[in-house]
Amino acid sequence: MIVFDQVSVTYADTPSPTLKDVSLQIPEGELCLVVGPTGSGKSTLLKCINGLVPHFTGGTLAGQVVVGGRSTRSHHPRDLVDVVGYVGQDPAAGFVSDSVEDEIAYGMESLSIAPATMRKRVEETLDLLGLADARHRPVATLSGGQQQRVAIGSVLTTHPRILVLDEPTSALDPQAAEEVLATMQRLVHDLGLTVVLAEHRLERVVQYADQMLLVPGDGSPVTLGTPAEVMRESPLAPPVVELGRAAGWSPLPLSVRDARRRVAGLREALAGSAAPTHSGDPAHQVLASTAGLVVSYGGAPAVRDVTLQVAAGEIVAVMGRNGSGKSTLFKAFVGLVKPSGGSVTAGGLTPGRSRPSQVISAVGLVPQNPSDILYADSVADECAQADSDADVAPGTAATLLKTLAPGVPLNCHPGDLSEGQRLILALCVVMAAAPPLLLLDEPTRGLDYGAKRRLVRVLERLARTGHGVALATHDVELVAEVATRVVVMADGEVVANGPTADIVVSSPAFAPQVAKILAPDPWLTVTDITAALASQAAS
Amino acid sequence: MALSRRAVGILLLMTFASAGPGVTTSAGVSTTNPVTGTTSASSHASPAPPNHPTQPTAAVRPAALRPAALRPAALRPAAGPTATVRPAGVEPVDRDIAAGKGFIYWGFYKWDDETASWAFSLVGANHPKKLPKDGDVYGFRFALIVGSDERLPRADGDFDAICGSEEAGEGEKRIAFVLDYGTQADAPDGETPPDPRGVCATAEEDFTVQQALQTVATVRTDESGLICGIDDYPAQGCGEPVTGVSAPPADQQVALDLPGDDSSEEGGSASDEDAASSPDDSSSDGISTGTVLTLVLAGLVILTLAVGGFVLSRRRR
Amino acid sequence: MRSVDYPGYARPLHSGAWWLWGLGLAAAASRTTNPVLCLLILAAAGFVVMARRSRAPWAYAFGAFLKLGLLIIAVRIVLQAVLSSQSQGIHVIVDLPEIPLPAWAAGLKLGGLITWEAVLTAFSQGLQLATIICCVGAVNALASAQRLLRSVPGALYEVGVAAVVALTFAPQLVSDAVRVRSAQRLRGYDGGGLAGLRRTAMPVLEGALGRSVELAAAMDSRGYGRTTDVAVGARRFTAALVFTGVLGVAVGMYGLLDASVTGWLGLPMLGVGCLLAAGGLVVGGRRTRRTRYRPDPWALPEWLVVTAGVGCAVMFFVVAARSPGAAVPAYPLDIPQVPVLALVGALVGALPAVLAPPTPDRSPESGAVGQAAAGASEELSS
Repeated sequence: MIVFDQVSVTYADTPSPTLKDVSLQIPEGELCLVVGPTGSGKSTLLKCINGLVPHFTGGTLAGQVVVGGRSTRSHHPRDLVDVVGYVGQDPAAGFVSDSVEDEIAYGMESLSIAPATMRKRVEETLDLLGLADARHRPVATLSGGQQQRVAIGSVLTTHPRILVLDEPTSALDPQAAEEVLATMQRLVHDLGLTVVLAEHRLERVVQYADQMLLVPGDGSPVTLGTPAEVMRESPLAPPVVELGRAAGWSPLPLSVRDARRRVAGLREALAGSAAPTHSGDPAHQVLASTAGLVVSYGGAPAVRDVTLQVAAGEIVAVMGRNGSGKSTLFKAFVGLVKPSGGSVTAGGLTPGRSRPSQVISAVGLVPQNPSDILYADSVADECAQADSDADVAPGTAATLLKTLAPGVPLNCHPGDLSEGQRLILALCVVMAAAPPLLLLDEPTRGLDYGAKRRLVRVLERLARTGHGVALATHDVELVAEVATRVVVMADGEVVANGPTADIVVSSPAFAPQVAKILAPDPWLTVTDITAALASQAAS
Repeated sequence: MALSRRAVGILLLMTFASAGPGVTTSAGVSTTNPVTGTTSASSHASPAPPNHPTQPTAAVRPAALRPAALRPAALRPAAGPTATVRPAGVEPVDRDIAAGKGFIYWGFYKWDDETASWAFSLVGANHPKKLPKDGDVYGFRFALIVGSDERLPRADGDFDAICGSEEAGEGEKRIAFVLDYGTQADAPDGETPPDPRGVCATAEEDFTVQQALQTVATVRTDESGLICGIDDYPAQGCGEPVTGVSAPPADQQVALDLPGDDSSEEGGSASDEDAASSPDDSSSDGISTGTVLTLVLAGLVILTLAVGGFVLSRRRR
Repeated sequence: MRSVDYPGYARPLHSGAWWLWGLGLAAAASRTTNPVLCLLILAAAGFVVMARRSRAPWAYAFGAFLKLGLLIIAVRIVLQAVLSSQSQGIHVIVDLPEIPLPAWAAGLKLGGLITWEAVLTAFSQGLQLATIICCVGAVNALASAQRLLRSVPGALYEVGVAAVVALTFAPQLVSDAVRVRSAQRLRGYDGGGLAGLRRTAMPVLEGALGRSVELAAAMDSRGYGRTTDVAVGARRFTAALVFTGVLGVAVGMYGLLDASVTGWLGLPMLGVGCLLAAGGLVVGGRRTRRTRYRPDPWALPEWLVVTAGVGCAVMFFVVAARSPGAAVPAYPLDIPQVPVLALVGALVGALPAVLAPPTPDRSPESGAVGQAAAGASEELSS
């Protein structure tokens, strides 16, 4: 169905080819998962399939890509719409009309499909994707999962035989990701579509894949194989695979269910050791607190009656579905929104009534999209500006950046950094004023496992040096790894607040894979288990 | 006119501009216009120097670019420092005469006691800074002007004859007006000019000429403030261009109808009434039951639609 | 008769019909400064809005336009009656102490006499402008601009898509700017000024650029621009035809509406322009083989609504020609006359309240829309 023959892609301003000598075949009806670190060329590979590379992006393509018998050399993306449907990283950016129905019909209008057929296909697609209730709604008002499904629907109506998706669940909360993945499975099973998708969050998708394509990105050749084969070698692996590796299972488990079947031996091995508690030392000084906090937007409270404290040395994870008030709570801490009831104090200040320069010396927030606070032309300028904003000695931010992320080039444009590097840069910009309390909103969006691991080390280091850290996140694995306390919010209220293990182990939504496998024992991370196994072996 | 101007102007900008000091509306005055009759009635067709000292500073647009500039500039919104000048097309005067093109409009003159003659007023009748003084005489002449013809009021501005019997109270002033509605040759189709009359206005100290006139006669102006009609004459139109006309015969001096004058009984009863009663009285007198009926009906319709709309919006909520 | 011809069959009316109706009412209002006639038109427009608006977010636009109208009237009265020395009458409301102004401000004054004549004249003129604007506002409340763009002729398809994208892009930029501005506070940055502008502009523009590239890629991969091959010459001919036509229509409209322009600029120019534009659209439409998904039908109710708008305009034009004293009252203090024809015209203008089909009631979904919109606005403000 998809044939890459000796494909190399070189962009104009890069010295080495982004993809080199890729030859592979993806058969019809398979769900193929493309994995690789950020910047390894996953997106480029996906864009080759429908001809966006090189027709749209520029660059030179050597070799040949043939999809459904058509070469992308002679066919433009618009001539391949009946073969390949392509959904980009940000589905909302690709919308061209205002209502769901029109958006779905758009591709067919360009193909001059008869109105009666169009009508029928739109109805079928709405049903297939579970969007019938939302058919008249403006696309801008949809949730992230719905938007992703509309984007899929809008390419499905031209009846392509291949569907290409670039990180469809990266920006979604777990529930929305479930919706999208369930849809995708249905497409593969019921319609026999060939699906190619790239994804960082392997723990979500690996069990659905028939084929897996590893794009290492360091110049070594790509590997195509069954997920179990590829996972044996892959530097990127979900916790369930890492657990399998630690326990020496073969073949490797890909899903929690696989692993649970084989967990008996591991359970026995771990019987002698107690799971580490992951809880911080509560005796530290309180850095910020709220009392009966209420924040409303236009009369509708987004945060209701929240009383919360964050102390030095602890890492608090705030969890909950989209719209549960996590971001609003964080904004109240830094004074971006003013409380309509109750109070917020941070470092003795009332953030809503203090100047930003005062607030930053007490509490700093790294927003969901780190690019929002970056604007200078180079990393060095950005750091210098941060020093002057925070009124600290020149070089403070740059030194911090060197400590936290040694490899970041200072003369580089912030826009050219990887997601992970940009996040750390934003973190350093905020940390220049040395706020004792640091808040991060969705820090792991778009980060690969490597970048996440580095972030975890940075956060742990901050906590050790007496900072308080709070994260708003959907990423249960990150929470299991780093948090000392978990606060669960729903509908603007705090519904649970306690040590990480107490909260997540019993929760179906927030339990990490390791906890799901070893439940009811309170193990959270592979690191804990390897440490326990190692200490047992030593004794 | 209204919509097209709206179409080109940004909303508030336009609101400001047209409310402003006659900046747009006095644009008819341009250095290309031959301005005549600056001080003396006899100086026919002498083109004004390009930077005439009395030229307005507000001539912002060349007259040639603007259709409306073909209309007479006389009595243009008198507000600005605009000189009230004679109408002048963009084309040479002689060609206008040959083509039979002209204008009919109300000209505004001031009586000069020293030369005992009428002088075309260089100041607008509504100029807020050039207020008339007690004892001034002003003349209005409705006339057909072809080329650069001068058509003065046909009677002298004799203050004593017009205002002699009036007394000004505290904070008041007496202004004499000579209102010359012109001859039948000047009249628009289907209208007959009333007899020329003299009338004395006893007005508040800070009234302009136009305001003083309004106390003794109805004054119809257009949106820009141009005086279009006095005592409802002419009934419609404002400085209309006319074609196919020839210059009317030279004017003869006439006698004015004066208040208390016996002759007014015969010819000028209508204007007498107007002079005696205030303008709004005269208009409310003329209101018919039909007008009241349609007005009430319109009020009912507006009310019904508004209440109906309100009820509908409530029900749909 | 097709089902779409029945006025009782609930469906959204074609946006184009609403626009023509609204422009008709606006044209009618442009012919009169009589406050009663203006109020009649305003009431007609408002009644139709209340009777036939949908539950979409834009349906509440009329209220905003009414407020804008009040503002216009207020500004006009202040500027014209209080600040301008022009057209003061003799019925004094109040005699304020006058503040002398320098010579260059000769047309302006501060204080001095304020008369009923000036205030009422300013009120009528402001009301006329407000009425015209509210007519446009009524259309905004009744019809979606995006749906109108969807029904542009095939030759203008690309332009239509570009306009739709621009319409969705603009609000996005605003929300981006709000988000970035608040994010800059997170750096501890207090000030505004030029530096602050740059801090906001750079991330916003970079984000917009990135999104445009994504959008272009998405549109390309969805078949945008698949047109049949036509010679460059033919394409240019079509474009020239359409744009000359549009220019002709514009000049013709100007000629028609500006009473002081000579006759040949009006109707004949409009006719020629329409012909040229229509020709261009037909010729151009042939080259794009594209089908429409659920195109809005143009049926009897559309014709009726357009007729109502045009009829209202025609009647007011006749009123303005036959009784100028009623259309543009010369004396602001007079009781305004109301010609029966104008009354009928306004009622005709209100007829779409029953002639247009009722809007389909999508309350359960619109509830969801409302919630989602609330959520979106929360996201935006948060």
